[in-house]
Amino acid sequence: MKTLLSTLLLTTVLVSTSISAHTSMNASIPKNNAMLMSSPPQLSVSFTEPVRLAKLSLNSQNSEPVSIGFIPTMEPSTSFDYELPVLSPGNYTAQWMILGEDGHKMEGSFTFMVHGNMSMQKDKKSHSQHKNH
Amino acid sequence: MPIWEVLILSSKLLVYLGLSGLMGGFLLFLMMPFIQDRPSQTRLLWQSYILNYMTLLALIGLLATILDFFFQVGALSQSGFTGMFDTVMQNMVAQSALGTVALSRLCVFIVGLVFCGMVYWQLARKITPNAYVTLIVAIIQWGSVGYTFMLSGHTVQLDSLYGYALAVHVVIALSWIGALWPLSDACKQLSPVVLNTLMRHFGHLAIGLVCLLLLVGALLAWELIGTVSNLLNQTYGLSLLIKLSFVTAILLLAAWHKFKLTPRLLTHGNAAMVLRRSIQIEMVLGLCIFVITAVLTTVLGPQS
Repeated sequence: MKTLLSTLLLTTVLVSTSISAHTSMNASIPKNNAMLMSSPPQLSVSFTEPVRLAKLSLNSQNSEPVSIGFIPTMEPSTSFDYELPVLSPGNYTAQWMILGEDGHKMEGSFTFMVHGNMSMQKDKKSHSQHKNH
Repeated sequence: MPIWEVLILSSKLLVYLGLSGLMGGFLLFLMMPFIQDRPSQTRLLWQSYILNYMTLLALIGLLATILDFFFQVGALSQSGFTGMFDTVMQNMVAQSALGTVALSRLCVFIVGLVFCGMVYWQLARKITPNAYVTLIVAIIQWGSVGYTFMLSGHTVQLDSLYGYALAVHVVIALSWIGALWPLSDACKQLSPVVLNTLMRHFGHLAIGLVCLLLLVGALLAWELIGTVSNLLNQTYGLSLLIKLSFVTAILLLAAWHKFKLTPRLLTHGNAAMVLRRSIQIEMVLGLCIFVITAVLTTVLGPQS
């Protein structure tokens, strides 16, 4: 019994003390909580390990989906890029779901805001209304 | 807890049970040459019992593996129960580690069932199953089961040493717990002398296996948790502590069987029934360990 305890103690001292971590999102474009002056050209997500991206959706503040042409990827990769249509000013939420190399499913989301040029937008609106008269 | 997590947890538990029954059955089959019973009818009866047990649990495991695959697809698809039949997500899961694990486990259960069928056929013709063939099939099965646990889960991102440690840990635990149900039946079917011989051999084997189980378990726990404070402050760490308390209880019970109850089999008339009841308690503890392990590997992660 003493030998067993000594072996266990020795093992625990010898082994390293790192904590294993699941794959997580490394970065996104736009960044989480970003406030943009214009519509972003693309939506990108990157992860700490190669993953299969099962779901990536972008919704406006009215929960209306924005088409980004997402197709689930069978090949694992660390980053995924999608071209965006011109986004109108407002808040957007991107939701993702991945299947990691360890077989674990993970999901998350990030938000960003497109300010746009509000004064220009107003001018354009009033101009078009004026023309209609 | 979301419905998919409950379903995945349940199917995983049934897969563990199936693997455990099969692995434990092989362990006991390898001990058969040590059991010399005259008349050999009781030994044959017990062999048939082990075969029935292995067949039933292999079928449960086979079905649970298939269900687990569809539940994983459904969880990923997130479009209700019809999502289980989403072919795109099915392809994704099939091409991932989950698909390889499912396929490997299906092979393990099918090989186990073929082995059972072969032994049924031999017993019906009064042919003694060849111990070397059983040993070769058992080694292949144990190796394959260990391999499936190396492919997925929290140790994948660690050094391969920890993968092998996990494989050894899991195979020993599954075989030990899986052998308990037929052992409890042996208390009823075998004569006290034969039972004493069986339990002594099982005890000798268990000492070596338990030392190895604890050693690799400690290595894995330390690598996954990291510090004593993580063990006490994280949900994952606390769950691991609960699992450890069950492991301690099962070890104490096993020691009681080996050092107290087994010698009494030759002197006390009711010792076999006391041993039977105690093994059944050990089985319940083993099931609790399976449940905690399924929760630790499905719902919680080392970061929790």
